[in-house]
Amino acid sequence: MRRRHRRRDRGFSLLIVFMLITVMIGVAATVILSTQQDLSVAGQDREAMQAFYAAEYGIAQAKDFLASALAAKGINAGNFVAGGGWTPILAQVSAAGVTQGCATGPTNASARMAWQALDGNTRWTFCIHNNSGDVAYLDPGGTTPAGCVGKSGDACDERDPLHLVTIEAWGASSTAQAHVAVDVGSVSLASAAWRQY
Amino acid sequence: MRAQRRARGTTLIEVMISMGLVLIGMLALFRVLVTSVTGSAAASHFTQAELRAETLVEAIRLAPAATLTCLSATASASWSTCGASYALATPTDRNGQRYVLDGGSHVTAGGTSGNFYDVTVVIGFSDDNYHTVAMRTGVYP
Repeated sequence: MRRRHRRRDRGFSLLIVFMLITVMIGVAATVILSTQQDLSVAGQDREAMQAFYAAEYGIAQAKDFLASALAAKGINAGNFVAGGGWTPILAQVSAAGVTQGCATGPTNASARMAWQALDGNTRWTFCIHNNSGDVAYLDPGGTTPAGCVGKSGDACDERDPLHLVTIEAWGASSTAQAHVAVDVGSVSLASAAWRQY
Repeated sequence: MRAQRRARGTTLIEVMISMGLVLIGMLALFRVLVTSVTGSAAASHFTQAELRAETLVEAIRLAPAATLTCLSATASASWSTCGASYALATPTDRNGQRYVLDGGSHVTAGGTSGNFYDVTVVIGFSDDNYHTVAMRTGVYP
């Protein structure tokens, strides 16, 4: 009877050790996974910010581009409307290879300009348009300017009494992408509205 | 009698093997814990560096044209001469980790209109090695 007991006891401590080791492996795996998650979240957050700032880089580049185009055409606040508003500027934008119209718009299916490298893993691009049918067109509703009903052209655009032009810019890093849209409401290029999404 | 002696001996060997295995397991677990603590600290340092870079980039984005001109003409180590907002407000975190504005930070004026500023902010910190977090953007004031 006593001998049988001992035989049953044999291997007991080894069993306990195997159980302990299993628990330890479980703890180690949890700790490793948690650390990996910490590092991954920190990295993703950084990449998202870098993509956002790359998009902002695109917005600044677009403003610089528009300012140069206005200067080249001799357009200023005094002759802006008489000169046709944004129409000749947008034509110049198209001529320079920066596509007027944005790929995400419901009516403008044309592509935006090619991605430009910013740093090792970040890039930016932008497009410029005054298409009120585009989801990114932020022009608030207004009254149609006098004498402009049914007429086309930016200076007399009934959809655009404030003469806004929309810059859309995209930034991307290896794991994140950002999209920023800005309305530019005057030839001084001061932002009429900042609505980012 | 003989069987009892054999059983006693086996138990001793078992205990020794068990202790050895537990020791190996504990050592491995300890190593994992050390790696984990180091990894978590690194993640926290990167996040802290990113927040400092973000704060500085936002301050620069909101800066008036005159300040941007000052920043572009000044080495990053002396950016505080252009305004208190352009230096690291809290260079040390609550764990004593120190962050620095890396020499790779710069504001460069340019663009076709001459009114575009290319902004790069690099925050560095040292643990086992020297690490940096960089944020680059453009500003058209």
